[in-house]
Amino acid sequence: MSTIVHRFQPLITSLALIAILSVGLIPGPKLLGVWESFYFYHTFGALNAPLEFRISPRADIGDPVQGLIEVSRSFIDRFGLNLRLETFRIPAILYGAISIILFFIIARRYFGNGAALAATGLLAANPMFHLPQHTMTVLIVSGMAFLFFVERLQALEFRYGSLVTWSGFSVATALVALHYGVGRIYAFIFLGFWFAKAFVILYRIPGGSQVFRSILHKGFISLCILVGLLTLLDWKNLISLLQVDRFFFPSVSEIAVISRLYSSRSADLLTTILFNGKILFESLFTYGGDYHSAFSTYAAADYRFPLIAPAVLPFVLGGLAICLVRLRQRTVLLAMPCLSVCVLFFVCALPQLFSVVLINHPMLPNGLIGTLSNHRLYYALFPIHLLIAVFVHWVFAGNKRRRFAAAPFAAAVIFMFVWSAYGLVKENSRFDAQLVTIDTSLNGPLAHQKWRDGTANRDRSDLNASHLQQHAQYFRAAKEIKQLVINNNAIDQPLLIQVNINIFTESPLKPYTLPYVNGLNFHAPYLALYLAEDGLDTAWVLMLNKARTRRGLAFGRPREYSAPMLLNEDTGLGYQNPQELIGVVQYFGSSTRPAAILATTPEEAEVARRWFDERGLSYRTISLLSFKKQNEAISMSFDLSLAKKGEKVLK
Amino acid sequence: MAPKKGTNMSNYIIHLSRQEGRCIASIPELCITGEASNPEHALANVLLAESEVLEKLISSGLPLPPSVDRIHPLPKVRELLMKAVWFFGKVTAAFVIFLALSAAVAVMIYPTFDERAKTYILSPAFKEHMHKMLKHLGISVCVEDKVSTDHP
Repeated sequence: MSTIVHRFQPLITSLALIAILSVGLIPGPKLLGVWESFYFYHTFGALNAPLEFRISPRADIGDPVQGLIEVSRSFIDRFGLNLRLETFRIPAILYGAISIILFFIIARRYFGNGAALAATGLLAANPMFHLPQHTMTVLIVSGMAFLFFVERLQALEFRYGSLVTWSGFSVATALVALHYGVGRIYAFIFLGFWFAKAFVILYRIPGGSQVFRSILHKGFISLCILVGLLTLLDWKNLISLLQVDRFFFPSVSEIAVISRLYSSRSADLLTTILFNGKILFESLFTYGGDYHSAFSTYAAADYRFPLIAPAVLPFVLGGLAICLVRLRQRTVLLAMPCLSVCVLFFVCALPQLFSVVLINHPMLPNGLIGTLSNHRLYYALFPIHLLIAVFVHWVFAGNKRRRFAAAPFAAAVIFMFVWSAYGLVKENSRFDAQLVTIDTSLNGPLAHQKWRDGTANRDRSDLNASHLQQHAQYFRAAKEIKQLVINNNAIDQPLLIQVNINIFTESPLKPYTLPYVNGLNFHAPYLALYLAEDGLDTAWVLMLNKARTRRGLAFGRPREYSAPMLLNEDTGLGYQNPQELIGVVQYFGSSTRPAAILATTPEEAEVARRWFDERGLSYRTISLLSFKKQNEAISMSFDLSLAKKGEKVLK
Repeated sequence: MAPKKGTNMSNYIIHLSRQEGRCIASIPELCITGEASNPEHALANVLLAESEVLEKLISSGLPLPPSVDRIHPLPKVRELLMKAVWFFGKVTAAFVIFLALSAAVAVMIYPTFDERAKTYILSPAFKEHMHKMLKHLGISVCVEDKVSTDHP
């Protein structure tokens, strides 16, 4: 039996890995997340969005100009794809798949095939890994870079003399440097540990100092390659590398003591550690509580969700105990698996305790708000699942009595994997049902209450739900427009979709959760995306100032975004200087022309009409003036002036 | 081929040392030591450990680490770097010395040289020559003309 298993091991492993990777095909939430929506607007809302490879001085989750994260637009353009939520998220899904493979390689090198498969499966089906894989933010690519960094360091334990491995390590370090700042800190602490470990091992061995010196030399060459690589990508990276303090602790970093950003509004060190400790404890050991949401999809709106399920917790604790017992165990050359996993766990967990805690928040019961978010906790997922691998390895590779339990244990792990994957599907259906039933005509506190999940969410006010309500309005508007198109048999004709921009009452001008886009017409690209998601290949009109002024929404070169808008009490939302505008039809799709053009203001409608006229296309106009209420027909406009021009107007 | 136990399969140098009356044999490239009361046993122990490590590496498909003199990549690189640094240092120093000497000779030969140089530097001709030279080098310089505030 064992010979058969051994012979077919590569095949079994490949099939199991394919099954694990296929979990990544379970779609994510049908709404853009808070930061994802910003990334989307930053990339697609601009007239042009060139890629930039500068080391971000902010390097936080709210900075979309970080290395490989803005490739969606190039990807869609290059492969002629239609803009959809899933096509926008394709790079994230790929980064997630690469992360899975890298994690498998790391776990396999230390703990063998079976343990690696078990841990990788549980990681892939973990909602806190699955959500970033289906949310186009810097987190997933930073996680991938971090895993690549750890994998290269692990490879160096066995191949410390290979310049190729050191060069690969340089590439991994460059990727870490270009992305999320938290990853940089963890990576370089772990690198320090790696050199310390090599030093301790080699200096105990007579003649080992020579080997250590040669490692340092190779490390120096690797550093030169790293600097060269980053300089090639953008010469200004050289300056960023020289500013070591800013490289590790950007000016906006939310680290207690070090950061002066919130010094006047942040809690003292003891309160900070206790508060963050409580959150960390809840996230790891209690599967929720006062500071965590009941729904994993809510993490897209910056709520927290626990890192591990209670069923998996005993494996993690068992793995930790085994690691602590075998801390000094060295397998071969510089490899000390238990010590490395243990250190990685503490490197990714302990610094979280120093996340800034803000005080005196007017809308919270105790006034405290923790900046410790799921984005930072995400990194801890990797060592946690490596601890699971340690435990599984202990069971599989143990004595006869333990091996007797291996078969039911393997069955239990497979069951947990399937159950977690099913949980992802179930949560998606629950969220979809919520989206369809939520009252989108509401706004403000009344609307936010509807999104409550039954948990305390003590340091997250109802205002976090503002993002959900805002995007639910686009989601429902898209559904209602699609229904109008179907009802009027207009599905195969060019369409001009006119939407009353004032129906988006939740965040007409300033999204609470996303102040970066204040005063811009972000409604049009968002709604066009949701329309495309419903199968209506929609372009939108980008209104620019005639002066072609550029602005920087984040770090990076300024870009051309929509002209500024104004909220007038009488006329509602509109552009500030309508006579000073020029319009561009923004379309991302595989066809030569879009199925529909979306117009949210009269100026945009005029540009769209001109666009159709110039191409000699006859088109139909569909208008959405307000949301459909119960027992009320969808309101549609009948524009006499348009009818006179010979357009077919639906009523 | 599986390594034969007790023989030095690779060509690593085995270090033998004596610490507090104990003999320690080591192969630092493989991070292994063998300890015993006499050198023969220490050597036997380290060779045993070596064969175990080699077995592990071969079964995992990993290459053996190169011996320390081969890992050391830098002697040649350092030699080249040092040569380059010295060369450029010498050239720069020679250039500076040449410029200083030429200036000193010019001042000695033409006593009014500095005066003439100042006049030339402040003249529009210098500006024009500089502009031509920089243009030739592909450098664009934007010179902002100062507007006098004395006049309305």
